[in-house]
Amino acid sequence: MPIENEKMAMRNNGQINQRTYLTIMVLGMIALGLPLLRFPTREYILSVLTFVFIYKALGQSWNILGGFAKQFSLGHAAFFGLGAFLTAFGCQLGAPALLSLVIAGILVALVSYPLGRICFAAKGPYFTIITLALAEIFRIIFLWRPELSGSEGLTLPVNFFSKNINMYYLALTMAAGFILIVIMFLLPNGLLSLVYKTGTQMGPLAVRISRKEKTAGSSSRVV
Amino acid sequence: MTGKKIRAVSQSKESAEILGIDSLSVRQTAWVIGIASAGLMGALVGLVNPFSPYAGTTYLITAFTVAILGGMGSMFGTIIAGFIVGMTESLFSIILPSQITPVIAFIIIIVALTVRPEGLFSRS
Repeated sequence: MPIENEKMAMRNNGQINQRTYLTIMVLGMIALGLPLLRFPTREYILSVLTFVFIYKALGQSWNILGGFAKQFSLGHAAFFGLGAFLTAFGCQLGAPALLSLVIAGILVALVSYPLGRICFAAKGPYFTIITLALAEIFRIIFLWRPELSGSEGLTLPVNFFSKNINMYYLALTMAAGFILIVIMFLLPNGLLSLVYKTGTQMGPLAVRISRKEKTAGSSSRVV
Repeated sequence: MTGKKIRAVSQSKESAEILGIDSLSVRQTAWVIGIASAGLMGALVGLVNPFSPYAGTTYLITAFTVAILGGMGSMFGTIIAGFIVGMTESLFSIILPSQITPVIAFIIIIVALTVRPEGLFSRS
């Protein structure tokens, strides 16, 4: 049975070969050099690509949880939005833009730990329902308090994020970083598995998660 | 007959099909009954409460809460759980502002799922 599980996981995750690495690198190079060119619709294209990269990173982040670890979370939006709000609060308090971005990421990770403990206490579809309920709690609380933006939203002062080109490179870095994380830790023949020679064909993290995928709770204890 | 067919298909789709039950049409019947009652309740909520296109998830999770707290597929449990959830929300609205009373239902479901995921009155 465990062997079957690993086979299934391998088929789902797919092997990555040198051509894929090459494609990723070429596309990355093109994306890196694109803003240097001057063409008529440059600003528009850059703003569209910024969102492409943001969605790429967001999708990849859900893929780590839902695709590799098979924990289907509908509460992803809560942490997505919490990161956005904390960054905005940091900017409003006058912190440098990038510093508030990093601090927001760390704070969201800290908040996610106790919430993750709550979620992982349930198993299977119940995990999904709990994440959905948590996301709704966040939404209601943020809509309720005027000091947490209420229903009107926040306005940011002009800063690092205001320039299109900065956002472009920031989003590109994020997307590249997330893809790198997946390549290193989660793919069957990821980079770390070559270094550590785990003896299996799975990435080290993916092995530990998929071996105990019966309940969400057990996978949280293993990792 | 319809109820028996629905329970048969939910227990084992293959066995039910061997016995000549059209599982697709049974599932469609269950869908129609469930959705029709949801639509009816939506009409009732619209008569007494303000609502908006964004209001759906709150009611969805409240429905989950009632069904899971009572035990999945347990009629008596659902009645009791509906009473518990509704009364708890109303009682907490005395001390909490009315915008965040739906949070009570969400907290109930989180506690119920972590402590007793099979529900209060499950047949198990």
